[in-house]
Amino acid sequence: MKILLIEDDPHKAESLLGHIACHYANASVRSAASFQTGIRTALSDWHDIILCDMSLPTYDIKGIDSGYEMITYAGRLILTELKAKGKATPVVIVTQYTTFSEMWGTKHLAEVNEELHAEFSDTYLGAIFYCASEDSWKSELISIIDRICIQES
Amino acid sequence: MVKQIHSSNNTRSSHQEMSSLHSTKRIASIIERRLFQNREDPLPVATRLKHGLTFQQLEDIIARLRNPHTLARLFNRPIVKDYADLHHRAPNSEPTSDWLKEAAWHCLASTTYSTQIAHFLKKRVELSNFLLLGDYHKASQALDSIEQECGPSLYTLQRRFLLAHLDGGITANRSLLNSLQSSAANPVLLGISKFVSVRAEFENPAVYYEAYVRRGLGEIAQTWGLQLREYIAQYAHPLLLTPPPNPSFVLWFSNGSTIVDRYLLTIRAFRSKLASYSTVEERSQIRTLIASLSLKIQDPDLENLLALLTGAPPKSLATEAQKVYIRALDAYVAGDYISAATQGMHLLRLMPTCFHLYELVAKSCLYSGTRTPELGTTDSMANQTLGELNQFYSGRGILMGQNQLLRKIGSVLGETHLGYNLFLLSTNSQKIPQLNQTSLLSELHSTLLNPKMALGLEPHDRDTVLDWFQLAYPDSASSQFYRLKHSRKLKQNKQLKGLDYFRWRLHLAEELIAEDKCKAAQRILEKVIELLPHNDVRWHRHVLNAYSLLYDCALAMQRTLDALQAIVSAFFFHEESVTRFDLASMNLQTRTFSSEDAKHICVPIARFLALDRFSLKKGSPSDLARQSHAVYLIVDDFLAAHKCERPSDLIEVILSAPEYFEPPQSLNYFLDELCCLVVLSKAHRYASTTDELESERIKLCSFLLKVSSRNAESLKSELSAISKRRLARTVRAQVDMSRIAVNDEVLRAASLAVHASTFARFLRFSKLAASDAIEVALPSELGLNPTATKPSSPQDDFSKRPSDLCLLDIVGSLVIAFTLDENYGLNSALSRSIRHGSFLGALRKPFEQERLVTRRPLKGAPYAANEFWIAQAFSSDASTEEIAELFSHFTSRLDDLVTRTCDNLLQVRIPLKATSLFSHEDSAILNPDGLFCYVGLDREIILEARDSETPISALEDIVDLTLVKLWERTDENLRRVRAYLDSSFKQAIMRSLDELLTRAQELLPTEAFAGLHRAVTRTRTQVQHEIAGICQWFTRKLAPQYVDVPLDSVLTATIDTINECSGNFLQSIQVESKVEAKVRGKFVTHMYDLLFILLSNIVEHSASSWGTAEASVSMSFNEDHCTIIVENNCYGSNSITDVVKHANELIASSALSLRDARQGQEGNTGLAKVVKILRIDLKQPLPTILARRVGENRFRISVEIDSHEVFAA
Repeated sequence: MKILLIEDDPHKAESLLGHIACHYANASVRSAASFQTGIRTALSDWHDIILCDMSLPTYDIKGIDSGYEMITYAGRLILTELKAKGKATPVVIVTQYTTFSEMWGTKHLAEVNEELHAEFSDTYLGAIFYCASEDSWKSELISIIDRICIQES
Repeated sequence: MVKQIHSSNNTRSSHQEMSSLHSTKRIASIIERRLFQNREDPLPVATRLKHGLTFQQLEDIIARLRNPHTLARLFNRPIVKDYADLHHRAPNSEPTSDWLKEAAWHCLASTTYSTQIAHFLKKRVELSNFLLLGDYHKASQALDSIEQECGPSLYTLQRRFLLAHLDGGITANRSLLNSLQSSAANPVLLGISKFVSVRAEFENPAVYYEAYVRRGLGEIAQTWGLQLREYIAQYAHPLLLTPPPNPSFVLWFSNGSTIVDRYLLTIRAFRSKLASYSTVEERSQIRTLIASLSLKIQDPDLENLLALLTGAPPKSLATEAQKVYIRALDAYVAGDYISAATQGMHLLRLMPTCFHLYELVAKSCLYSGTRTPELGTTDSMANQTLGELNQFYSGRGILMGQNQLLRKIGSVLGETHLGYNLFLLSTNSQKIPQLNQTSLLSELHSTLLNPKMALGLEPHDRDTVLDWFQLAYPDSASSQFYRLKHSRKLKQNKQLKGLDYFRWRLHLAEELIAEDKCKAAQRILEKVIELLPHNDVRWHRHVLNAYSLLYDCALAMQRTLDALQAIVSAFFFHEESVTRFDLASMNLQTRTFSSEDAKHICVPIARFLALDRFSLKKGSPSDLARQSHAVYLIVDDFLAAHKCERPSDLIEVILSAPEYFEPPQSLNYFLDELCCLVVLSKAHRYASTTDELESERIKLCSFLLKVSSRNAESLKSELSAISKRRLARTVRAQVDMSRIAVNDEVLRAASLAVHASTFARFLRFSKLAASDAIEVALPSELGLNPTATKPSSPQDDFSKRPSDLCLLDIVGSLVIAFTLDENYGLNSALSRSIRHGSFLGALRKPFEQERLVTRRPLKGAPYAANEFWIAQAFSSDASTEEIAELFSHFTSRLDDLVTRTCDNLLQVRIPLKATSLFSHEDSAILNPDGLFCYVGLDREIILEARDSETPISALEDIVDLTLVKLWERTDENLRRVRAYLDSSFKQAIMRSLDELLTRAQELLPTEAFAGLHRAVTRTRTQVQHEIAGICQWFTRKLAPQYVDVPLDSVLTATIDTINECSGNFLQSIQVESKVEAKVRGKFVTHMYDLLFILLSNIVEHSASSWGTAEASVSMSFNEDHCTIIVENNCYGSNSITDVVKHANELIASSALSLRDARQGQEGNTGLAKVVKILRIDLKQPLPTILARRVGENRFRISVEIDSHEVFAA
C-alpha cells in the first residue's frame, strides 16, 4: 500500500508514521512537508491514499527558507488541484485544529468537513482530529485505511 | 428592429436558436439599460418589443428579466403586504410608486401572455370607469380586488382616498386616514395626513394652495424621494408645481381633488378610448364621459385648460369656438363624420391657427369618403373640405409629408438643439405652423455653421439635411439657402467632434444593433471609442455605453472573443463597468474556445474578472486562497495555450507575437495582477522554493518596467521589497548562530609560550628512554611475550615514563584551558551563552507569547497566577486555584526540564571540576562516556602520540594534536546534544503540552478550551522553530562570513527586517554623516544577532584604525535600554569587501578584539563596552530592539535588555 503523508509538523508526522507502521507492515509511506511538495508528489506518482494536514507552509521550511506563507486551507487546495488534474486519489485530512481561526471569522472543523464532503464527494474521505494526548484518531485512521484496503481488494 | 422569427417549424436549427438567444439577450439587455441605467421611459421599449417577436423570444426575455440581477433591480422591493409594511421600507425610495410598478408592468407587459399584468390593467381601467360613472360601490370592489391581487401601492392608496372623498366627502377621507394611521406609524402617511389636514383647515384658496404645495406635497415628496416628485409631475398634475395663474384657478383647485381627479381621469380615458373604441356602445360611453366633463367644468379657464390638455390651442380659443370644437368632437366620436367635418371646417375659419382641427377635419373627410353610405350626397362637401384644406396647407407653405422630412432632418441632426426641436415639432403637430421656412432656415444656418452646435456632423449628413430641406421647402432657392449650401466654412468643418456627435452615433449604433446590422454598428462603435476622450469624466458614461453596445454587437454576431475584448476594454476604462456584462456566461463560453482563441490575453483576464472579485476583497482568507488558486488555474490554462512552462516564458511570446496581447494594458494587468506572488505561490510547476518564486516575480516586474511605465512606482517598490527580503535572508544565513566558541588560537599561543621548557624536558627524556623503548619494544614486535612487556594500563605506564609525564603536563593544562578557561573555554561558552538565562529565555518565549507560562517574582518563590486564563475561565465550574495550579504546574515542568538539561547535560566534566553540584546520570544516557566529559582524554592523546608513526618533535605537534582531539570530542558531544534536543527534549515538551490540554479540558469551559487549544497548537509550531534555533547554538563557531553588499543596504535591510518582524515598518535608513539608531521592541533573537553582528562588522572591519572605530561607536545606557550610535567615520568605504580587506590587517595587528586589557582600557565608551555588557557582564541576554526615526535620515536604535532571566540567573 502506498501512502502519501503531507505534514509539516515532524512530531505529528512521526506519530502518524509510527502508528501506520505498527498496523501496516507492508505500507510504503512517502512524506512531504509543504503544500507545494505535497502537490508535486501527489501528482507525480500514484498513491492509495493521501493523509494531509489542513494548514501547511507553501514551500518546505529548509535552511533560510521559511516556507513563504502558511496556507490555512492547504488541504482544500490540494483536493481542488487533484480534482482539476483528474486525480482521484482518496484524501483524508488529519488536523490538530478544531477550529480554523481567521481574521474574518472562525470555521469549525465540522463545518469545513461538510463543505469538503459536498465539494469533493468522490475523493474526500473525511477529517480526523489529531490530538497527541488522545487515541481516538488512531482508530479513525485505521478504520479509513482499512476501508480503502477492502475496496482495493 | 429585431426580425421576427416564426416558430411554425418545431425543429428549429441550432443556428436559429442561437440567433434567437442572442436577440432576446440583447433585448433584455436593452430593456435593462434603458430602464435602469438611462432611466428612460420603458413604454417605447415595451411597445417596440410587442412587434416582431415570437412567443418563444418573449418568453426568453421574460425568463432573462427574471434572473436575479434583473429582478433585484426590477423588483427591488417586493409588493408590500399591507400599508403598515410601508413603514419598513427605506424612506429614500418609493417602493410602491406607480413609476416603478409601471416600469415593471411595461416590461412584463411586453409579452401579451402575462395574464397577471393584463388582468391588473383591465381592473385598473374598470376602476377608473366606475369612478367616472359614479358607481362607487363597484369602484370599491374593483379597488379591493386590485389590492388583493397586487398588493397596496401608492396608486391604490390614492384611489382609496379619492373613492372615500367621492363617496363620503372629506369626513370619510379623514376617517380613512385615521384608520390607516392607527394601523401604521408611517412617515409617508404622516405626510399625507398633513396634506389632508391642511386642505381642511385653510379656507383661503391662495393660502391653501401654497400650503398644499409647500407643506403637504413637499413633505410627501421629501419623504418619498425624488421619484414621487417625478410621479406627481408626470401623473398628478404638472400645473400644481407652478404658481397659480389667477385666482379662479386657485378657486377651482381649492374645490378639492375630486374635480382634479375626475378631470384627469376623464382626459386620460378620453384620449385612450377615442383612439381605440369603434363600436356604437363605446362611442356612447365616450359621449357620456364628455358630457359629464362638460357639466362639471364650467369655468372658461378650465375650458382653456381642457383645450390645452386635449391638444388644442387654449388661450386663443373663444368660448363659442370651444363649443363648436366640442360639437365637432362629439360628432366625430359619434361617427357623424360629415357633421364633424362641417363643424371643423367652420371652426377652422374662425381659428385658422388651430392645426389640431385640420387633422380632425381631414380625418372626418377621409372617413366620410370611405366608410359612410351617404358618400354620394357628400362627395362635393368632402371635396370642398379637402380642397380647402389643401389650399390652407399650400397657403401656409406646408406640404403633405413635410412632417416626415422635418423628422428626418431632426434625426440626422441628432441631439443638436435644432435637431431636437425639429424632432419635437414633427411629433407635436400643432406647433409646426409656428416654424416657418425663414426661421427654420435661419436656425439651420446657425446650426450647421456654428462649430459648437454642429459638432460631429458628417459632411454627407449636412448634405442630406440640406437636400431634405430643399425638398420640404421647394421654394427655398433663396440667397440664404444658397449661401448655406455652398458655404466654404461648412465644407471645412469635417472633423468636428463633440458630445452631441457621440451621443447621436451611439444612438444610431443602438438602432443598427436592434435591426441586426451589427457589423455597421461595430464599425461606428469602434470609431466612437477611438475618438471619445477617455480622460474626461464627462464622457465616461458614453464611453461605457459604447463598450456595452460593442459587447451586444459581438454577442449578436456570436463572436465571443470580441465580446470578451469589449469587456476587458471596458474594464480597463472603468473597473466597475464589468457589472454591466454577463461575465459568468462568458466564462463558461471560454471553455469551448479553440486553442487559437485561448491564446488571446483577454481570455484569462475576462475569466479572472468573472471570479467574484468582491468576495476576493471582502471574503475570508480561505476564499482568498481558493480564489488565488482559481486564478492560478486561469493563468496556467493561458500558459498552456502558449505552451509555456512558467509566466516568465511568456516574455519571448510577447515579443514574437504581440497581437495576442492587445489592448496594451492587458499585458500589464495580466503580469501584474494575475501573476502576483500570491497566485504564483499556488503553482507547483513555477517554483519549488521561496527564492525561485521571487526570482520569477522579479523577472516579470523587470520586464514590465522595461516595456511600460504603467505602475512603475508600484513595481519598483515591489522589486525593492523582494530584494530586501532576499538580502535579509542571505544576511541572516551569514549570521553564525553558534554559541560554542573556544578561542583555541589564544590557547595555542599561550600553551606554546608557557610549555616551551616542559617540551624541552620531554625531548631530553625521550632521548634517554629511546634505548629502553627499543628494548621494551623488541619482544613485543617479535611476539615473544607481549603481555609481560606491555604496560597493563596507561596509568601504570605514565608513572614510569618521565617523558610522558612532561607531555601529560602540556596536554592536561591545554585540556583544562580548553574546557575551563574563564574567558575562552568551552564551559564559559556553555555557561554564559546558553545555561544562564539564554536557554530558558529562548524556550520560554513562545510559551510567554501565548501566555501559557508565568514568572516567579523571586527566585524560589511560587509562580505568579496565570490571570489571563483564569479570566478566560470565569464561567468554569473549576475554582481559580485549580486553574492557577494547572498553569503553575505546567510552568514548573517546563522550567524544570530546562534547568535539568542545563544542570545535568550542559556541563563540562573533567577531574578538576567539582561534580557534587551536578548529576551526570542523564549525561551518561546520552553518551556512555559522559556528555562533555574530558576525563582521561589527556592520556588517550599521549598514547596516540606515542603510538604514532611520526614521533613528536615539536611543541606545536602535540598542541595541535590535543586541540584536534578536543574538538573531535566536543563536536561529537555537540551532535549528541542536538539530537537530544530535537528528540527527547522536544517530545518531553510536547508531552507537557498534551498533558496541559488534557487537564484543561476538564477545567476550562468550551470556549476557553478552544482558545487554549489554538494557543497550544501555535506554541507547538513555534517551539519547534525555537528548538531548531537552539540546536544551532550547539555548533562550533566558525570564522565570520560577511555579505558583499554596500553598508547602507545592509543597514537598510536590517532595520527594515527588524521592523517588519516587530510589525512596525520603518522607512529605509540612509547612512550619512551619522547613524543614530535606537531599537526598542520585541522580536526574535536572531534578528538581534543580525543587527549586532552587522554593527560589529561595520566597526571591526572598518577602514579606520581600531581606536577610531571604537570611538565611532558610542553608547548611552540606562535601566531599560542602551543606545548604540555609529558614526560614519568608522566606515570610510562603501563596500564590505573593501573594509574586510582593511579589517584583516587590523585583526592581524590587534590579534583579538576582546582582550581583557582592551576592555579595561577602552571599554567604557565604545563598542567594547557594549560587547562587555551584553556578552560578558549580562551573559548574552535576550534584548528587544526597535528603531525610531528621530529626524531626517536619523534613527535611534535602542537595545532594550528586558530579559528578567538574565537578572534572575
